[in-house]
Amino acid sequence: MVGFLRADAIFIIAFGLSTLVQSSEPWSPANPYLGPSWFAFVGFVVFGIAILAVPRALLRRSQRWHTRRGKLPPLDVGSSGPTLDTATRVFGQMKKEWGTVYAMLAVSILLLLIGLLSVGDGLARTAAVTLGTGGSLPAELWPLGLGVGLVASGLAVWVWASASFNRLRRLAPSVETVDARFRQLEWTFWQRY
Amino acid sequence: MEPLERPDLYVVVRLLETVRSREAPPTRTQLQIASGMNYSQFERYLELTLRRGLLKLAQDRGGPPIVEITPKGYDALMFLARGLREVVGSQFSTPP
Repeated sequence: MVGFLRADAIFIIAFGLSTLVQSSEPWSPANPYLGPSWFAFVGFVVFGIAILAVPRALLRRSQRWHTRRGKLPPLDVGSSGPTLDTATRVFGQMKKEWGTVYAMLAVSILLLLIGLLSVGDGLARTAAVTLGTGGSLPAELWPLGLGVGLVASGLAVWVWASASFNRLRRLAPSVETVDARFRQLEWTFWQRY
Repeated sequence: MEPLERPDLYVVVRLLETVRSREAPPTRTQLQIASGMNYSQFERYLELTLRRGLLKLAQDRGGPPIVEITPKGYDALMFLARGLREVVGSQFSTPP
């Protein structure tokens, strides 16, 4: 999963770099005007780096959870029941997986939105060229290509996240349900003992 | 020493289980080391479990006091084992 996110980020950064290469108005002291390609370059590189930060944040959160719960030595309660550490691991794993899936759904929506905006921009530029009011066609095609790439990327992430969401929903109750059951157990325990 | 506002059930059970699983009842220091807690946290949880009657201190022939699990503490441990099985046990296979 982390690898997939990183690949996605590299893909976006690569798109940013490609806009720089395609830039018809490169920055220079003689021409200090920052053209749209430069903005796209800076924007997508920043966006790519932000996505790169997501897996790091997810990993850190997961590590914090496991550190808090898992730093004590293993423990076996009862002979036939699940160990406490098993329960802790399952609970921690579930939290991590649900968190990842929700984050991925958010990332895919973001990619789709930016991609669709870029496609719209690209279509408008292409239309302007066709009508003879815009620049030359190859130079104005980059937003369309960028948009199609982002939409495809967003769809891929969406498909992955949806499949994971359905799998988690099928296999396990939500974290909230387990959390609620655990709180009920905790409440009963302190009432009884 | 301030009492615990919201004791962690995992830590309480860990204390009980550590006492139960040892061949000889541990001293306070042995129990603190075995349970992997720092001194102030350990003292709070020990005080809580003693007050609730889950653990008890006993004298060991002139040596330092030893910590023993009470029948109520053993019952509490089994209650939690069953409870946890109901909460998560039937929903998941054992993770690797």
